[in-house]
Amino acid sequence: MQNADMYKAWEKAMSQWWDTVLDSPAFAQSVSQGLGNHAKARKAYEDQVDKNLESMHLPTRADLVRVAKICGLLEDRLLALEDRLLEMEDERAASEKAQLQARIEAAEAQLELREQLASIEAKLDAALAPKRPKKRGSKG
Amino acid sequence: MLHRTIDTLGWLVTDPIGKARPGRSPHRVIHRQGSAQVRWFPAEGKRALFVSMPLINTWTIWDLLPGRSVVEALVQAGIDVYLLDWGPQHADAEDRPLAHFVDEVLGRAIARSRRHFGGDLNVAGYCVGGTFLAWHLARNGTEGVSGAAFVATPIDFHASGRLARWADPEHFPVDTLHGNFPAERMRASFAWLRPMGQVKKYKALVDGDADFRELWAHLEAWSATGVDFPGACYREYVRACYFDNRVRDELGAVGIPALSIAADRDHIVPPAAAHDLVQVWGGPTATTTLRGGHVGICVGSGLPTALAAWVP
Repeated sequence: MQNADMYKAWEKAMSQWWDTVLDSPAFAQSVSQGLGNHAKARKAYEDQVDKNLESMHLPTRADLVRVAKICGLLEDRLLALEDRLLEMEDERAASEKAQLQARIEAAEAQLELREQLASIEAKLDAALAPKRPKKRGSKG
Repeated sequence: MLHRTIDTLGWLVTDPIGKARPGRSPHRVIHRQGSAQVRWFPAEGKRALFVSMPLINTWTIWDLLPGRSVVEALVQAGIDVYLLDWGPQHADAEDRPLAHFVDEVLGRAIARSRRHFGGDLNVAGYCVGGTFLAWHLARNGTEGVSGAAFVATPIDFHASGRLARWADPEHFPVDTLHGNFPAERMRASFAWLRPMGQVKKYKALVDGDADFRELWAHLEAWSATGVDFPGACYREYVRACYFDNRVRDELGAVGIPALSIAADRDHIVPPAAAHDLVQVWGGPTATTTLRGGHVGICVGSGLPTALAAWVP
C-alpha cells in the first residue's frame, strides 16, 4: 500500500470514529454541561474580582460597563437626533425642489402667455392695417 | 514528503500568520454606531451593493488579500460596496437585545448607505449577517431595497446538521450563560464540527505552493480574530433560530426578489439549510450552489461573479 492510500484509509477511519463520538447525545450533553459550568465559574470569578476591587475603592468591571452603557445610550439618542435632522434636511430639499419646480412652471406659463399676447397683437395689427387711411404727402 | 514538511515548518517559524494583513482594499468609513461601521469601497458606478457581514467574524474575510477579495472583484465590476462591519463587541453590549442589532444598527446602516449612494440599493448578507438581514427586511419592510442576496445564510436552522443537534433545547444551557459568548468558544465549536478538518488543513499546507501558503496564512490570521457574540442577543438568537426555527416563519411577507448562494461542501450551513429560502420567501427566488466550503467560497472567484451578475 502506498503512503497516500494509507493516509486516506487512516483519515476515513478517524472521520468515522469522530462522527460516532460527536453525534452521540452523550457528547452534546457533556459539552453543554461544560459550557454551563464554565459560565458559572466565570461569573463567580468576575464577582470575586469586583468585590476585591470594591474593597480597595477602585472602579470595578461593573462600574466601567455601566459607564460604557450610558455612553452607548447617549450615542443612540444622538443618532436618533441625527436621523431626525437628516429627515428634515430631506424634507427641506424636497420642498425647495417643489418650490423651484413651481417657479419654473409659473415662469414657463408667463412666457407662454407673453407669446400668446404677442401673437394676438400681431394678428390685431394685421387686421387693423388695411383700414388705416393712406397718408398723403404734403404739397409744400 | 519529509523535505516538504521541514520546509513548511521553516516557513511557519517566520510567523507568516502574524505578518498577514487582510482587508487592504481602499475604502472609507461613512457611518459609525458603537463598534459598527459602514465601510464604503468606491467604484463610482451606477450599481451598489450593501453587505451585512456576520456579527461573529471580522469583515476581512470578504477582502482577504488582493486577487482573492470579494469586495475588490465587485468594485472592479463597477459596483460600489457598502459593507457593514459590526466591529468588536465588548461588555457594554451584553444586554443589547437582538432587535438592537437587527432593527436599529442594521436599519440605520442601510439607510445611511442609501443616502450616501443616492438611490435604491441591492443588499446581501453572509452567514449570520444574512439571517439578520432577512429578519430585518421581514420586520421593517423593504423601502429603498431592490433585491436581497443571501450567501451561506442559514434559514432552516434545523437542517444545519451537527450544529443543530448540539444546540438542542434539551441539552444546551442557554439560560445559564453569562455575559457575551466568547469568540474562542464559537471557534472551537466550529472546529469540533469536523475535527479531521484540522489535520487536512495542515496536510494541505505541506502539499501547497507559495500562493496557497499565503492564502493559508491569511485565513489563519482571519480565523484568529473572532468576535464575541453579545450575551442577550446570543441567547435570543439561539432560542429563536436553533430551538424554534422561527426566522423561516417570518419571511413570507417579503416580496422583493432574492438569491440564495450556498457552498456545496459547507458543514456549517449546508445547502439545504440555505436554499430553504425558496420555500419560505414571499418574492421571486433563485438559487446558486458554488463549489467550496463555508469560508472557501469567500476566497474564490465564483462568489463575486455570481453577485456581480445578479446586481442589476
